[in-house]
Amino acid sequence: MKARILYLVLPLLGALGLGLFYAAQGPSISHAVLTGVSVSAFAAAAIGSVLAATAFGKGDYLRGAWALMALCYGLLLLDTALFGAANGAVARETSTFEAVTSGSLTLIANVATVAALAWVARAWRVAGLDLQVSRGAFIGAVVAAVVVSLALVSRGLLNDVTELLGGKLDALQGVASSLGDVAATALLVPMLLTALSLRGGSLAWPWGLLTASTVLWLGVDAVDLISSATGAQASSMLPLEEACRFGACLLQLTAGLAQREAVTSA
Amino acid sequence: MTPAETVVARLAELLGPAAAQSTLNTFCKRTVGVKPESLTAAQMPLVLPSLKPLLSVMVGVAKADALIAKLMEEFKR
Repeated sequence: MKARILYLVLPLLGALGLGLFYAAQGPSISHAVLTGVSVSAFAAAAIGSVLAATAFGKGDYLRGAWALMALCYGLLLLDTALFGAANGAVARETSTFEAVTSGSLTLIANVATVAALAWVARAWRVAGLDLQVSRGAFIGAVVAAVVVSLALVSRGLLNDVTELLGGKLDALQGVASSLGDVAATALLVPMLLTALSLRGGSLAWPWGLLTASTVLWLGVDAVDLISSATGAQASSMLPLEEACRFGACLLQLTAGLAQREAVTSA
Repeated sequence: MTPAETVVARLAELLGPAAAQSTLNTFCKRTVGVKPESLTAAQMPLVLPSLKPLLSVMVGVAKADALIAKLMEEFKR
């Protein structure tokens, strides 16, 4: 238990450290550094997902879910390696072809991650676990999560949709990302309830850490909302946005490690 | 330790104590129609295989089989 808490603490400390580093660097932070950190984070998340997937045998229920998560992070890694880091503060200079390719990679990655999270979130039902929550409370919690996530992504999503309709194809990446995060947030509730119902057991960790990772992805989207609410420049929000993204990826890595540990030690 | 406590303790390592107890309650009633506290070692060969679908989802088929076989072995002694 004491060692497993590091699965949560270390990614959060890593995210905090990165955020402070970027804040100290200010606007002079190089795009190469941003890209290098993002590529490393996506690679770590992909490795964690592969380790979890390969802990299961062929045909096991959760193997496919973890494989889809690995695909998602692999595609995000490819996108970042090919076209550089993308965030609210640094605009990419890409051709139409590159913008469409990047948007498509992000779209497929988001579809893969939503499918994977739906797979994981449904495990309690397939397994026959009792989450000990009434159906009404469950549905109410899902609706509340979707409303909150829509509120968080709405500003960024509206901007991206407006730009996309205006012919700016690189906004496709933002639209795909925001819609994926809204769908993922709806799946937070069953994942969190599963983690809570398994508390005290080794299997609570992968579910809890995946939930925490999804919350941080939502934090990446919330940056636009915070920026507009506080009137802050996009560049001043970069440390927060990148810290959330980095933390989400590290939590994906540790969720995979926790899943592998739980399965192999069973 | 009663047979039920033995199973709950083993399942709790994976599922946590609350889910382990709730799972055993459900499957005891479903398979042998008794509460876990009145479960005997002789009834375990009926109850333990019913845990396989749940464990297969959570840890995979091979690990579920190994876990159930290990528990079966404990109750044969």
